[in-house]
Amino acid sequence: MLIGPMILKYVVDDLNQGRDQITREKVLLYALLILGVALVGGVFRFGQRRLIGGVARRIEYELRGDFFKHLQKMQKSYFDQMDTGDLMSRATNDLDAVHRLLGFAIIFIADATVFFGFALVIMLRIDVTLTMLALIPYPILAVLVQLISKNLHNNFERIQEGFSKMNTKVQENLSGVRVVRAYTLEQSEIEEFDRQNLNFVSLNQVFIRLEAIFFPIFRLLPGIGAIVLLWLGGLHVMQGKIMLGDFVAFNAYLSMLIRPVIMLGFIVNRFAQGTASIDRINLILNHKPEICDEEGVDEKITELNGEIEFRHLTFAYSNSSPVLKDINLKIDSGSTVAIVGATGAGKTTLVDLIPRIYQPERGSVFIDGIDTRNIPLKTLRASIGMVQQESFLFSDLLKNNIAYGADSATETEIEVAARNAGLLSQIDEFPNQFDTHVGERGKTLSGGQRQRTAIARAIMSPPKILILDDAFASVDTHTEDTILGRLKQLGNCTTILISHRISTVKAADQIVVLHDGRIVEVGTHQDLVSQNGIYANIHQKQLLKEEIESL
Amino acid sequence: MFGGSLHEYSEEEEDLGKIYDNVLMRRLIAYLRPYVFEVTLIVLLTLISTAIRLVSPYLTKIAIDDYIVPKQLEGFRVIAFYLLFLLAVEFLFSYLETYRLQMMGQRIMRDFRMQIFTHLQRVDMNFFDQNPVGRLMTRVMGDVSALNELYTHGIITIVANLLSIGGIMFMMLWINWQLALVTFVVLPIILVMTTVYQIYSRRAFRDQRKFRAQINAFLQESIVGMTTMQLFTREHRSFEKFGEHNLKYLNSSIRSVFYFSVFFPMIEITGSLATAVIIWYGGGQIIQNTLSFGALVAFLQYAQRLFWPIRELSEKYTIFQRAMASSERVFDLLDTQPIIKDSAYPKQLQTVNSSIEFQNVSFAYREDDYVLNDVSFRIEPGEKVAIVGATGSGKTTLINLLCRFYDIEKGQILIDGLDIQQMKLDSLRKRIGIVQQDIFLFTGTIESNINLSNTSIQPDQVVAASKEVYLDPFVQNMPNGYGSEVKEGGSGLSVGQKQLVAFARALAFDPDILILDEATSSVDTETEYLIQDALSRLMSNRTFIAIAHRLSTIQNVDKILVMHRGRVHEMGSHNQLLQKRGLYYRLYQLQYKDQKI
Repeated sequence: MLIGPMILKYVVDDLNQGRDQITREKVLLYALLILGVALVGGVFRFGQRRLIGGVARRIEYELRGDFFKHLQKMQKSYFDQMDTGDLMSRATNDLDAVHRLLGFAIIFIADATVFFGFALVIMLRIDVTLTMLALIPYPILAVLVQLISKNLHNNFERIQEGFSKMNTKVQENLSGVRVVRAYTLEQSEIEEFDRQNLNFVSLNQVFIRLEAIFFPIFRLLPGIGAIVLLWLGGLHVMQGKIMLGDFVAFNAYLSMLIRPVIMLGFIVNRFAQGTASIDRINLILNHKPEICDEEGVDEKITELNGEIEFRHLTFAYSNSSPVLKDINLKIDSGSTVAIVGATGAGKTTLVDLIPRIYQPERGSVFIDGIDTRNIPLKTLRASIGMVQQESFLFSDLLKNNIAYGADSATETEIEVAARNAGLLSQIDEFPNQFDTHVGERGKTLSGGQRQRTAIARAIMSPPKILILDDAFASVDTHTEDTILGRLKQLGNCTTILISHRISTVKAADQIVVLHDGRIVEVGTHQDLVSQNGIYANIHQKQLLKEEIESL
Repeated sequence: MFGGSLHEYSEEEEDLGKIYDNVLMRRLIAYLRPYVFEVTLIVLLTLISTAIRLVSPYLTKIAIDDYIVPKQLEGFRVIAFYLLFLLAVEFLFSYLETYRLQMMGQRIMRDFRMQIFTHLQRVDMNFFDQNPVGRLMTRVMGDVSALNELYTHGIITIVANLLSIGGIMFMMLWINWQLALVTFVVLPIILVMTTVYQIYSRRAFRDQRKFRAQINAFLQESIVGMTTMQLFTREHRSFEKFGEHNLKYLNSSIRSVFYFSVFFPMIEITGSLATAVIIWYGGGQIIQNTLSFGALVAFLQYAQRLFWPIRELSEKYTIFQRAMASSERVFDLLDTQPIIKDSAYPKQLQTVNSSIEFQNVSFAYREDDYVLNDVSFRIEPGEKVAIVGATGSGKTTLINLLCRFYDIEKGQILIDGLDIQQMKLDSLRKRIGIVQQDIFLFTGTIESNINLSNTSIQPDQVVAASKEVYLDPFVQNMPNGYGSEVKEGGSGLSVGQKQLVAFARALAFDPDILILDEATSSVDTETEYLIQDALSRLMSNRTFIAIAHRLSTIQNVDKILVMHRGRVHEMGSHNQLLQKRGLYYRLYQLQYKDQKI
């Protein structure tokens, strides 16, 4: 690429020296030489870009994989604190910044140095003073680019702020549409929004003014250099100090320098962004997972029997007051336990501690007499089938959701699970039966369908412990009875039920009443009704509710 | 921000394709009408700066041919000076052009945003039931930005690019038409190359975007469903699946790196080809004395300048495509007409007694799925009424209809004997004050949340209203009093305090009819007392309707309306209804009896 102007110099000099010096063949040779050099240069540039660009993308690929793998190891309490949007933006925007830094920045830095170095040497050899003078605008340009783009950047942040203010306004207006309408605020909202719009336009004005200077400067300053060259170089040619060919070649080199200089200005900023992004990604990757197989885990445990015991279990979410206080409870293998209590009594927390969604203290939760923290996580969780309060379905086919936990499930197995979860009898309500796509988070399904799908998923491979956290809330009592009856026949499976319905819990071997994080009543339905405590009160209200509903 | 991202992405994918639509384009052009002067000016500026850019290579030619080669010093300085002058003018003009153009873009965006926002203030409430806030946000903010591109980098830039190409070609032909024609041989090559590159890279880019959307959707789903995944010990399988998406994205990226790596060197090679052609043919012409040196140098410069606008032109495709898709969505939204609006001949209410009457009202949000069935009742002026009933019995719907958030088809709702559909919407809603269950607080101050930025409500009225509902002591304890900041959603305030703010708001507006949708969430006993006291102040001197969840409320009203399955099941005072031992008696036992106080 850099040889091109040199050839140009010889062409011009030859042409200038006189008609006898040059033949048509020689001109053709020069022309072919220019093309040939360009071809060779092009091949190298292709190789360079492809290599660097590819490597940058591969690194991005690896990083993204690492990021995902890392998140998989993190516990729920971590996700409770982190904002999904924030994690997403690290996995997308920050990774982009990293690959841009790795890709473009490296290409351009390499280009810029090579170009600048070579061209400078050649130009200096042609004419030192001319080089110096013609290059004066370039350092100025580099500094200006740096300065303006920094300014642009700062301004851009202010604009982003203005934009997010407008965003908030629109969002508030739309979310609060009932207040807006009820208080007839439409007009004042429109005026307020227009104020923000105008403010946004004026914020942009500064930015646009800078930007409008930015690009013409790229023509102005090199243009000045070119005029200096034309003037002084022209004089030097006239004085015979340099050849006309030198002059033309010089011109060509000068124009080649514009791009690398501009790029240098950009890259400085990009570099800062890229490194900041790397830091943001590392911050996530360096966070150690809390719930994992620790020292003392007995790898030999591959199967569990399902006898659960809580011993003096007290639990608090990070830094707040305890949600569970001194829980002592033994659940025999194969028995059914129901947990009732008001919202916030600690029911869900209690069951979440069994598969270690949250971390219980050592020595407080035992299965088959073994501290759960000494049971390999994989064994522990594989033995438990759990239906959470807000069961999460994946945007996939219904059958894949049911078979989510099973590696190779046959159609018949899926059907069996669906029947036991009370889903099969209504399968025709789904447009494509088992091949129905459930949509994001299963939003195309009704609440009851979602819950039954989650139940089917949990019993797909028969668990030793089945936890149903309010799993029947959207299912009618009759269907619930049928499902519970079927679950009973699943075999020797410890079942823990959380429910607000007395009809659900009535038949349990043990009913536990939680109040304010403590167990206040334990016993069978009959025991508790005769105790005339909290349970009896819930029971009574339930009867009333049924009465009202039947009216 | 990422909620419903899957949906947004797929929506965008579907829309790719159309790059030009006459009807849409005509509507889009219409938005330029207020800026006719600006547009003319910008086009003029563009013309001049394009012309200047054409002149400078020609001046270089003159400098070489007339001064440098014949070693003519006299007048050479003038040429240099001209060049400098032109450079300065060009700088100024392109600055003005860019500035004006971008500013116009910003103003057009404002026009669009305001039009959409204003429109959204008029559409029916059921529009919001069908269109999630996130989607509407994309219309107001995202789609409008895509349209900006069309105005700033689309229409006018195309004109400028075409002008440049034409101008350069004209200059070349004018200097030496033979050499010009030979040089133009390169043009089809560039054209074909750019088009091919655009097609391939666009395809690769589209794949890239698609796979990236898939990665993002998968990643987001995984983050939200992480616990489920861990419970089912699916870490490994799900990582494999992620790896598949990631690999697809990598491959499409590498493909686009490949195109990029091929294209740019090719363009450079073609540039060299042009140089070679000019030197070969031009050199021959110089030997024959039919071309001057200066002309050769000028030609070399022109040839390089010809490439830019051609490349820029080929990038317009995407801008148009995106603008068409966005404008279609925006216009669709603007074209939805509200059904609920002022009647053609609105009637003014003479009296302000505020009696309310429902006459045989039936209503369904969705066709034939009736939420209210033949509901009739009358509330006398100044009467205090509580509505009770199980969830889904139609309580909230009664209020929605009274405020005319929805229109009824069967029956009539009358205020002081006048059908609300014949009243002006404004005057109807101004008479009604409403305190909703989930209290909505705006970002702003305590004061602005009470007077809702309504300047006709004086600061002392705000304070008076606050005192009345016992909010004042809380506010006085805040660092900036009534100027204290309220964050989005009112975070930082307790549930009880939010309730009191809403009370103060309702009181400051002093409505004839006050509607209260009581919150179910419990507050501490002390605040509960405050709220009760505030409530009794609030209901005096006006017609009052409450969807009641508080024992004290049902005990303090004149009349209780018991809703059941969309019908008025019982009606009467608290004691009467209790004695009747019907539905109310049971509801009372279930919901209210245990409340202390």
